[in-house]
Amino acid sequence: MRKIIQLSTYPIKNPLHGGQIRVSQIRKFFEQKNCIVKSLSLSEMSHKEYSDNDILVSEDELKKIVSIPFCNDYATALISVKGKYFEFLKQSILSFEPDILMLEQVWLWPVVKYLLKKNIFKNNIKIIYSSQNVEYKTKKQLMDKHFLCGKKVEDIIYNIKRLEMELIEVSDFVICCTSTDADEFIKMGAKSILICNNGVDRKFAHKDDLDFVENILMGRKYAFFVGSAYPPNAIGFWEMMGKSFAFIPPDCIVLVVGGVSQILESYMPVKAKLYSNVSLDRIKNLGIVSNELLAAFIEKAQVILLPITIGGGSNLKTAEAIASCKPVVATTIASRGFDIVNQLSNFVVTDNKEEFIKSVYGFLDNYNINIKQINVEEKKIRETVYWENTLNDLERTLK
Amino acid sequence: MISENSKKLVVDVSTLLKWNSPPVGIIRTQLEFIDYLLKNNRNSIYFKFNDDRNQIIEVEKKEIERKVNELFSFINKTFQKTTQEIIKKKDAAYIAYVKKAKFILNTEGINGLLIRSCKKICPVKIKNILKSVYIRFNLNKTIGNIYKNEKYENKMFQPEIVIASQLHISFLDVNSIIVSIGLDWDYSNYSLLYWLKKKYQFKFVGAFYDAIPIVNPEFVQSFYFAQRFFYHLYYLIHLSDKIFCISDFSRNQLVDICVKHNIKKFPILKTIRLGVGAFKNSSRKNFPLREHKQNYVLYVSTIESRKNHILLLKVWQKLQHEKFCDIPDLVIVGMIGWGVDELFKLYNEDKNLQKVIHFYYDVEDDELAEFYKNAKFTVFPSYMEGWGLGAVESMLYGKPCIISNCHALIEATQGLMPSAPPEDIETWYTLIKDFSFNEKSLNLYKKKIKEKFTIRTWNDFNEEFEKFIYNEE
Repeated sequence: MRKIIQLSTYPIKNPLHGGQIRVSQIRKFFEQKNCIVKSLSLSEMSHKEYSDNDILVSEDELKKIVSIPFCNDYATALISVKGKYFEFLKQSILSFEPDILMLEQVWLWPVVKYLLKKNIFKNNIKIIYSSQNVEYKTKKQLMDKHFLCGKKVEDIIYNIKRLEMELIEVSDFVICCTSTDADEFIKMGAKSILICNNGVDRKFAHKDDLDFVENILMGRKYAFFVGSAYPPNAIGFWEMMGKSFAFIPPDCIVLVVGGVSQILESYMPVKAKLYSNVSLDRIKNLGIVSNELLAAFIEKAQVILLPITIGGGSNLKTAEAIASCKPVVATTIASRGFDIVNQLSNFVVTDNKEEFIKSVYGFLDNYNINIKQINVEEKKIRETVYWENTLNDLERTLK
Repeated sequence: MISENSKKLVVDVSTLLKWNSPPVGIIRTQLEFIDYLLKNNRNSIYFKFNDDRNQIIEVEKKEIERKVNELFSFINKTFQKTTQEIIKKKDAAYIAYVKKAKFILNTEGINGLLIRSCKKICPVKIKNILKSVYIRFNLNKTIGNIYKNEKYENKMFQPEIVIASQLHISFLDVNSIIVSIGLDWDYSNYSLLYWLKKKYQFKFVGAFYDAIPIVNPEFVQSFYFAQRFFYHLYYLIHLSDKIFCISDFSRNQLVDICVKHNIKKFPILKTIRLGVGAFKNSSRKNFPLREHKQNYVLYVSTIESRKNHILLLKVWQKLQHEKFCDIPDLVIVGMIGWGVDELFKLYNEDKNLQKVIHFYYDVEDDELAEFYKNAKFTVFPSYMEGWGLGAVESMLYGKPCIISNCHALIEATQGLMPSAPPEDIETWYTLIKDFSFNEKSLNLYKKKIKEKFTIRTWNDFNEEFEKFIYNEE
């Protein structure tokens, strides 16, 4: 019976955002293969639920280490080898005597690196780098989008790249979400690559939830956008949907669900402010909802939006949208890793803003667009995005 | 004339009933049309919105008739103050307001300031302010307190879709045509009308005057107003079956907005030019004593930054500097608006200008007619207009008007008047100098007016508008 440690920077008790869900699904996969899995984390305090295997660090503490915005993850890497955090992680890892050390993203590599140097693990311990995207590239894109530049920023990006290179060098397997990321990791020296795309659980909407959605809508049609409070989600939304939502008629709305709904307004571009009374009247932010209600919202949506414009990896929400069989308007970045989208009906992939808006309106109001029925064959293609299919290759790590 | 029609006209008179100042611009348009309906015994229904704009109330014909008469005979007796007095009073009030607000903010915080402010102003304003604050800051708690204090707990943020589902309006049905051409961003509720339209299937005819708050938000009193105006415009487009535009220029602006914002819904648009009427002649001879001399140039419009009065001050400074003999005075007539600090700073600091430029805020229609009759010529250097009634009125009195080269003014003056870019002081100086000292040049334009200017009456407008409302297009 293999013993596996998962190391991440967020708890997976009640997983909500993409990263949490992925870690939790990987854990589930290994457990089904009779492994004992311990999920350790050094987490920020912004999450709602934790287990005894999570140690918390405040944002203030992280900011003291790296004050540049969007760098809490990198600050976590630096703090992970200090004081109580290091002690906790070290004790938790060593006491478990793992056969496999699986790092979810690169951030806790400094701890593992330190322990490896001490040579205190079993001889045949396997190191797995479970990536979600190429971190240094994503960080650079995020910094560029926010006009953050200069020596300090460059140093951070360089250091992140170095962390990734070191981890790749020692990893027995590098798991990634897309073939694009795989190519990049091979260039960086990865020995063995597994592409395990993000997936989705089978979801069924309950009648009560469907009735609830119908009641609050009062006959209005809606485009649906779900995402976490990760800034690129909000940036992409405004970039692709434009400055003004006046193209959405009063009997249609854009329903926004998840953490992104709490940050959406603060990312509204300055030039969009003039039109904000209309835009904020069209956009209905619902915050975080239960998985059951989420399923109902997806079920009733006229169109699902995937307006991601930066970042690597693949998007769990894309898998969710594919599985839903609903019309989708997505960017190429949002559909990255899901080559099957080319075979799907009612699935528009475009990076052209005008085209994006036109398609949203078309699906929303049945305007100049022909919504096709999805046949059995296509449904089978869509089923490949369920977790049970996307994580299959992980079994190779156990051999 | 329109024959008996199965359609019934339902007219929103909210703006008119709220208005207590001289009827100019949009108010004049609405007033003329309603007066036309009343005089021609059209079987119309009139309604208004309540102060919270969540109820529609039928208004008796008698009440409308009374209001129309009141507005036509409007005489402003109370407002006779000099420029300096007005400015001083406004400044003092503003300073006092800021001081008080700062004190409350320091002692009671933002909640206190909001609650205190809201108690001072009318419910409609409370609603507007709170909506914006609610959206901006999500201040549930603060707003909750205000609700309790002001008894608006349940109605305030009920979405219009819900209100519409609960309202029963007996006079609305599939045969109704609602006509609303007032200051609807302030007094109507298009969102509610939109959902009522879904329910009752009536037709809606609206008006589009100009897009200044959207195209040139720097020319309106606040950015918040520009945001609110865009919201109004959005619903106007989506609610209306037909929209009358006051000029080809404004019509093109509306089309541009629809294209720019990817709005697929397109109501029927038609340019219907406004009417103009000579001001009533009065036997009154006891007009207030005025300071200007017989030889003067006239500018009639509200006094605000967009109207570009400052250009005229600079031209007159230049005329004085050149030491011409017998420079005409400049008479400026209009209500004082906003964004005029720089204008009055320049005016107050130049004693020579004060001798030749005169601001009058208290001019009644009969005196204004006298002003037009006796003016040498008129000027209209505004940066942006939807139409430019002042320039047309001037031509009605046979007086040439130097206009800015904004499209609507050229359209309104039928391409007959000399124009110059609103920022080009040199050209304005040359044109004004020419008209002031060269009778030949001035007479040439007077002749043009006499021979080519087509007068369009309010009746012409009303008839064309009524036809537009009823005709299936």
